[in-house]
Amino acid sequence: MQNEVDPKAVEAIMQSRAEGPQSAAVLVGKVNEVVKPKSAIRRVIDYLIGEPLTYLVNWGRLYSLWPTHVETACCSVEIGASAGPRWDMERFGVLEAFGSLRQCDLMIVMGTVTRKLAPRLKLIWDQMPDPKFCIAMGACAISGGLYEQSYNVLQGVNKIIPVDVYIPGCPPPAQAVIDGIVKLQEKIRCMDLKGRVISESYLRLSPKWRMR
Amino acid sequence: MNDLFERVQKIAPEARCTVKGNRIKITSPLESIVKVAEVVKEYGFNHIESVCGTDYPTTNTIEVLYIVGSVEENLKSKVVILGSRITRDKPVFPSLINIWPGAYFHEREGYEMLGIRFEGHPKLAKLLLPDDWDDDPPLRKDFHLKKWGAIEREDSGLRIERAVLHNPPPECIPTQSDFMKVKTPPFLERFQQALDVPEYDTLGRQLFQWVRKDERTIAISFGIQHPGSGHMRLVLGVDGDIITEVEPDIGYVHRGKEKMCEYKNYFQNIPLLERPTVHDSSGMLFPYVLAAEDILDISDKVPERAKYLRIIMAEFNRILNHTYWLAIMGIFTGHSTMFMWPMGDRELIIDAAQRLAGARVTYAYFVPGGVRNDAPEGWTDYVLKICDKFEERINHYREIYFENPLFLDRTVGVGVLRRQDAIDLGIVGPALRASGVFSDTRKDEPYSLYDTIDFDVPVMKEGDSYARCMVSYLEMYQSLRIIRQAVKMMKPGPVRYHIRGRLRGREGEAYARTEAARGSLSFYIISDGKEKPYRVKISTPSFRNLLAGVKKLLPGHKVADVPVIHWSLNYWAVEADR
Amino acid sequence: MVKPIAILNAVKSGLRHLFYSRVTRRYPEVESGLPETYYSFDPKKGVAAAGWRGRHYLELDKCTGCQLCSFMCDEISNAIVMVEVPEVKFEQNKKSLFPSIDYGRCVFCGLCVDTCPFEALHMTPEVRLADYDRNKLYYSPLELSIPPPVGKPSYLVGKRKEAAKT
Repeated sequence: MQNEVDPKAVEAIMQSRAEGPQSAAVLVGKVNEVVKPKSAIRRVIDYLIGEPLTYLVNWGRLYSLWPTHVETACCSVEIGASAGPRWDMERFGVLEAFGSLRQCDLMIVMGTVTRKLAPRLKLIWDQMPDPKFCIAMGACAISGGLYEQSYNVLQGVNKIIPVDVYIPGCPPPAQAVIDGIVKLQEKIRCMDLKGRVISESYLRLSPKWRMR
Repeated sequence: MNDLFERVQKIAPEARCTVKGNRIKITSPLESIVKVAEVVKEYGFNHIESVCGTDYPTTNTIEVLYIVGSVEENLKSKVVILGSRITRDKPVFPSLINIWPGAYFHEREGYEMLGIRFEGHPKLAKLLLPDDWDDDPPLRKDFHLKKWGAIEREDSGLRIERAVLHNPPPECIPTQSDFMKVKTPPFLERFQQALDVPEYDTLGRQLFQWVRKDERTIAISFGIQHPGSGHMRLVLGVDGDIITEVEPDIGYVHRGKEKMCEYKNYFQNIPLLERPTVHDSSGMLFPYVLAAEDILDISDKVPERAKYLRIIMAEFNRILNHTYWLAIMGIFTGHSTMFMWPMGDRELIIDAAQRLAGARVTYAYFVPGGVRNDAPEGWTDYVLKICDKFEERINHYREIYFENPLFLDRTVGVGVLRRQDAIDLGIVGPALRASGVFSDTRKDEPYSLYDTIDFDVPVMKEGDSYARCMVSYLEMYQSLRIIRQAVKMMKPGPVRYHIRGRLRGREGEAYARTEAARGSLSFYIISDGKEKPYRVKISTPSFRNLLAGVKKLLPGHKVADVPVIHWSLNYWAVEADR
Repeated sequence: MVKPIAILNAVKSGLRHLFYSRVTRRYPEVESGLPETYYSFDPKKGVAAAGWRGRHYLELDKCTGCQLCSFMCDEISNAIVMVEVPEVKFEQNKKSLFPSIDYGRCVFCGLCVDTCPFEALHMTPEVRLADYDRNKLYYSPLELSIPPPVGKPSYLVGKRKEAAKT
């Protein structure tokens, strides 16, 4: 009984796939939610303890995202400006704590990733503890940007590291960086305890939502 | 100049000398190049700028050029370009390190970019390229750039050919899950193997061997992921707490600009060439625009208002650069208030600049022929108000930082650079002026109407880190003075000479040098009559300062002095790597 | 003794700042402070109008599909691709070719606006383009023709077609 797949669930998933491209994490969350039917006691426990606990844990994770101190290239100027007094990133909890990278949970890839730097970046990513998030900032980190045809540049950091939020710009002004951090925070609100995304309400913040 | 030519002709009768404005070009055959170089140095040209190599496959030669300047009183504005040709099959050139010691790192770069072996160089190895590079040298004409881009793009498939309205059918577009499938490219796998297998000896590992002279020293990697280092790595050989030897490891941001410039025309190069020094982007574009106007033959058609607007933009960028530099200096010495105050004050200047140019940092405002747009209404009054507010703010830095004994203890007497060493190694910028040499391109060879403006240049004699910081702080006051005068001297008029029709450069060379915020920056463009340049050589102040300065200054100091010394040379690794 | 007095001076200077007004702009709730005009280029005079360079704004009734913007951007960062939009028909654009822009590659330099001879392309002060999905950063021509919620159009936006004939 528990391993049987509900045909209605499959239909719902195929229909949502026809609506547009979805992140794999969203689909995994949906399938897990729908395929295993829960017993009544389990549902009560989730309502009384599970959901408030998830809310509290996410609240803690959102408001204390500490970035690692790896400055990749030119966009680090705008991170410096965002940490300055006028556009204060610390209001959102993003604090440049000069500890080791084993204590950080956010990696902002600022700018071009070259072939000489890429393996070291992957080493740093592997050393960070779970749950960890990645923001790709600037045209060079999303797709290689201006330097797409160069011999020493990796065309986009999503080839080696999974990315959560993409911020376009060259460099994106401090207003756009803060906007990107707010969007990441909304995405974290929709996650469960293990770091998988289970709801879709964060998609309403994307700028294409008002152009549907 | 005539006695220089006579001396050269006496030693090498086949050498040829040409003069154009302030540029002197001397070409000599390969056998007598060392003697000619000695004569040139004796005459007074002792401040080396760069080593430029160009590949000519049609005549099967490579031309190697040494660009040398001077700090003597009567020769300050002149530049000697000394060179010779070697064959492509057997590229061997005698090293001129004994004559100009500052050429140590420039020759290493020439070796890896073009494959030239410099005889007599003690350690000829790679500098900028990754450790496991086993392809042709990049600046040769057989190495085609698009070959690399195409291979990667087959792998990623990101182009949408037909973007039709809002709901494209799913088969056309790669889904996000294709992006989230993280792949390991082959060069990553090789790196992982190198970590486990000690026989796979990359250059990064060899640096640790070079630095250990005897059994007492330990090699430390003051590396990339470090709050005090920036985008480069220093491998330090340490005996107890005292540093004995240093090997810099740069190239983590090397993006291959000099090769990419050859594929774009003179306008498409503008966004590319303003990105190395991103705080000072207009200062980086200034010499490029002057050299490009020389090649396109429109130098005398640039209107006067454009020249004043260029001066104002360049001085804004100088202030932005110096405040960022002071802010990071504050962090490295542990003073976080000194991070916050300059970062907030530079926003005042960014407000004034963004109303004119349209972006916060990378303006793309200068074009060959003038500037792109005129100032909006009410801008000049706004700038004068902002200058007063800014000056009030930077007066506060004296009490909190420059007279603070905590800062004085860390920087006075630390990293002393003597006058003769600074000239021999080719150091430029505030680091040179803090060692007692009066050298500023804005006064020596005034470009773009700087000679109509009245300003001073601060020079100090001690040469330690405190002097370097103080020189930059005083330069900010002079920049405000320049901005106020230029704003009042501007008259209404056209702002751009718009080039219509085909873009064609004349055949020949052009050289331009200006004073960017970090030091003197120069561009050397060789063109063969088409709309794209044949070779662009950029000689940046950070490349000249960082490597030679760090290798000379650090030995003898303790490990805690490393961030203070290397940042006081005012380098930015993105600019050094291009 | 010099030392304590000099340190006290520094502390005094810092304490005085308690009484100065705050510099922080609480950004998402408060206005961002960017200049509000569009960046446009006048091909007759050869000079641009000052403005902020953010997301593009395309005027469909002026674009003729000449592909000059795409040629300029091909060597800069390859962000403009000309696409066919068969749903939309204009008399000055017989093949219905319009530019679509990939913001994952755009460098916001504004040289495409400078090359358009028909004043059809402008740049607006909209910078909040961050997104969760790489595909959503491709903007089709119809999406580019929706004016953003911020910014004041310059004098070149909305002029009739006579002005476009050079």
